[in-house]
Amino acid sequence: MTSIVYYFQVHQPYRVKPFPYDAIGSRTDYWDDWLNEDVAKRVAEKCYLPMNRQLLRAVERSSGAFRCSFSVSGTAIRQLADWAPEALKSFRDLADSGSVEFMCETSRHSLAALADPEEFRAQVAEQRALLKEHLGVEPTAFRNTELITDATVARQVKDLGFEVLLAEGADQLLHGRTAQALYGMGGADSFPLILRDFQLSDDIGFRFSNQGWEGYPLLAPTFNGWLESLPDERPFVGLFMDYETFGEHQARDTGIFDFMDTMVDLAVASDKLDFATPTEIVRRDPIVEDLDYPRPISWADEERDVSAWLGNHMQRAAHEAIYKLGPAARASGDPDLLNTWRDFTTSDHVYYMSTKCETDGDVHEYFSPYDSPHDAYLNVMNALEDLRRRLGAD
Amino acid sequence: MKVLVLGWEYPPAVAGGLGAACHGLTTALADRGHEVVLCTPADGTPSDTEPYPGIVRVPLGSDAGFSPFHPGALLDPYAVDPAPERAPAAPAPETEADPPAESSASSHARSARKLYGADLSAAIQRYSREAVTALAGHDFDVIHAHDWMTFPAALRLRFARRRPVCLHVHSTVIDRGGRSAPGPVGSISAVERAGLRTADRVCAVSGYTRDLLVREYRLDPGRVSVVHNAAPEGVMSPADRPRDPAGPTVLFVGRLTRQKGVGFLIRAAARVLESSPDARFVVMGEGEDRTRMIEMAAALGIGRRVFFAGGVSSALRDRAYREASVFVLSSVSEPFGLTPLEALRGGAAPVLSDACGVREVLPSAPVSPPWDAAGLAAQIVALLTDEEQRLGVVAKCRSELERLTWAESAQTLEAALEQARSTSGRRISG
Repeated sequence: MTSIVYYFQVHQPYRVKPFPYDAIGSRTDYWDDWLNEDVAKRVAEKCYLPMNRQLLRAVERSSGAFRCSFSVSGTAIRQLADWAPEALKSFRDLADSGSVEFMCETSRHSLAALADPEEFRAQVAEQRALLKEHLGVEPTAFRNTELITDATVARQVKDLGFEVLLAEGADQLLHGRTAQALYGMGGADSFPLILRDFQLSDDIGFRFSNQGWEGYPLLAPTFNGWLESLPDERPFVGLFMDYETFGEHQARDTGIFDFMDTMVDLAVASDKLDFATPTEIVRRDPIVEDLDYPRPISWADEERDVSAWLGNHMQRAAHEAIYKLGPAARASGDPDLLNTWRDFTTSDHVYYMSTKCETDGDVHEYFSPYDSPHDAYLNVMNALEDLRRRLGAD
Repeated sequence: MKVLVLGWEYPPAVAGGLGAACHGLTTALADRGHEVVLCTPADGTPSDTEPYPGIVRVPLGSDAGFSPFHPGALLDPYAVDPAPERAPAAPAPETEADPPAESSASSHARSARKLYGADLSAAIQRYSREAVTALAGHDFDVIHAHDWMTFPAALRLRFARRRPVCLHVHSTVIDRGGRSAPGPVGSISAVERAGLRTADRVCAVSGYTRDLLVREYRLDPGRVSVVHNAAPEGVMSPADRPRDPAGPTVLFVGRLTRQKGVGFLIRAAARVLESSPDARFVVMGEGEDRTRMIEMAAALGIGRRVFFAGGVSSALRDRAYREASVFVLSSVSEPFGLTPLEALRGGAAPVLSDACGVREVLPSAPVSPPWDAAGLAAQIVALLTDEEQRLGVVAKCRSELERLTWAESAQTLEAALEQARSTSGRRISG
């Protein structure tokens, strides 16, 4: 019996509005509220609402046998609370069903775990409060921003009392071993890691509607056949993806909703498959061995490292400029300024500055509201300069 | 004297300094009582929108208007990115009374596309072809032609009408990073070389440019007159700067091209920031080096202190002049350099490249080779840290600037035109 561990990432950033040089010192409206509201409403309409409804029906239909997990970033929770409260309510319904686990992350979907441990703890505390308030849950599992993981991250997560960390099943980590087993983090007291099976996850998340793919069109019986043919001793398979896959990255007319519905029913009926959440796995399965992380590993781009966010000089300059303001923002005693600064820590801002070309460049461009990485960089640097002056920081 | 002026840029069709210089010299000639026939490219707009007493305007090259394109034009460094100009994002909603009609930045970009667009070669040919026929009814004693785009027309008229030619060089292809002479036939350097060696007299915008012409095109220095540009008009703003809590500003204004040496300034900025960590560097302008410069500043770890303002309106640029403590002209080769004079009006102290013409008229301005990051940085730091010294430089340069007028320049030009006429007997064979 192999357990399917679904994990869906829900995230929306506060995108920065065009902020030219001459706006410094004369404007403080950094966020493109019009765009952010528009995106939040559109995604709620096309993805969150219909897919949450479908998953809730699957839970009810299977009497709770269907299980899955989510992490909803704090920025996404706040946007939904403001602009699509009915979508937030539908997440709460899933939480109330008892079959859906909501995990913790940083409240701003930030890189604080790498850059600023104090800020990391503050954002985790903030996220716990948001989850309690809006979804009524107290999380026991953790996933760091974009699955960025190494021993330092794992130690911080462990110290904050979580039981398990989700991570990417990268080749450079596994060296031919399977991702379908519970590992421990070397150098962090074997803190449990549940890894993503990127092959099977990306079959749904990226390749599903790719007509050039040899597996196209992917039908649920085929996909479940692959899952059922996994060796018996594999305790689980991690299928982790952006939740926006359903209805947004893969439009409804690709058949993605029907695929998921059928896939779930077939798995529930199968005697070789069932569903589990991350906390259920870690409480059930033994750790097979420790993994050694040579460097932080994420689920992004071919490299599976942090180069999607910190790969070029602009990204590193902006990253540095953002975290340099942290002490002043926390010491300011002004909750608005602190909140504003924290929204700049969202990793998407530096992601938009990536200058990678070829396939990953397309992905970056797909998500970016800017004409070019250089525009994204200048925009954020200008807004940060304005914020720096308001904070009276160096 | 009856003077035929062949111009390429002329207000309102202005892409750079050439238009202002042509306008300043031509109107000053008319003011001195000369009868002027002014030919500029026909761009479909009425040429006499701004009639000036003593100047008759004749548009040239109207046979097909301006239309793209000739591959040779790619050689032209003025050629503007065919993509719509990178908007400085959305204009800030509450920017004060900027004339909303059109920023000078975008009008410059539009003019530049029109004047130096993809079809530059063909446009020049049309202009030259029409010169002889369109001017059949006009009489003149001497031809005064501005920059290489008009040289072919000037030489045709010289032959057809047996009139002496004075060619005026505001900028050469060598300044703009082109190859040294001799270039292939038909290249810009070949046009410049052939024209300048045939001309009866040559005017250069600076001693720097004269020396370059002598060196690169082997001109006889005795045939070249130096006619400096005048200072742009406008009121002087107070030069003293109230202490800005955000730090003093070092300003650059210009196209982001290799010629302008922005990279040298950014390298120097890294050194300046070591001793003056609160300084800010503001780079105004667009160009093909933009992305490289942005990345360079980030790579040097000074991304937080270097701001790229893009193309801005003239109102914003003037404000930047009034706010900046120091203005840097970092060009690798600058025939003249109008921006330091504009900056002086605003009260910014100039630091000049040693390879520019404007230093000849601003002898009090600090000078450094642009590639010498340490030297350039030292000049900037000296002005940033000693306000008294900075004010002294501004005051001295301003008094030097006051002496620069178009009337003064036109007097020198007049002498050059006379010399063209007096030598023409020898140089134009009957």
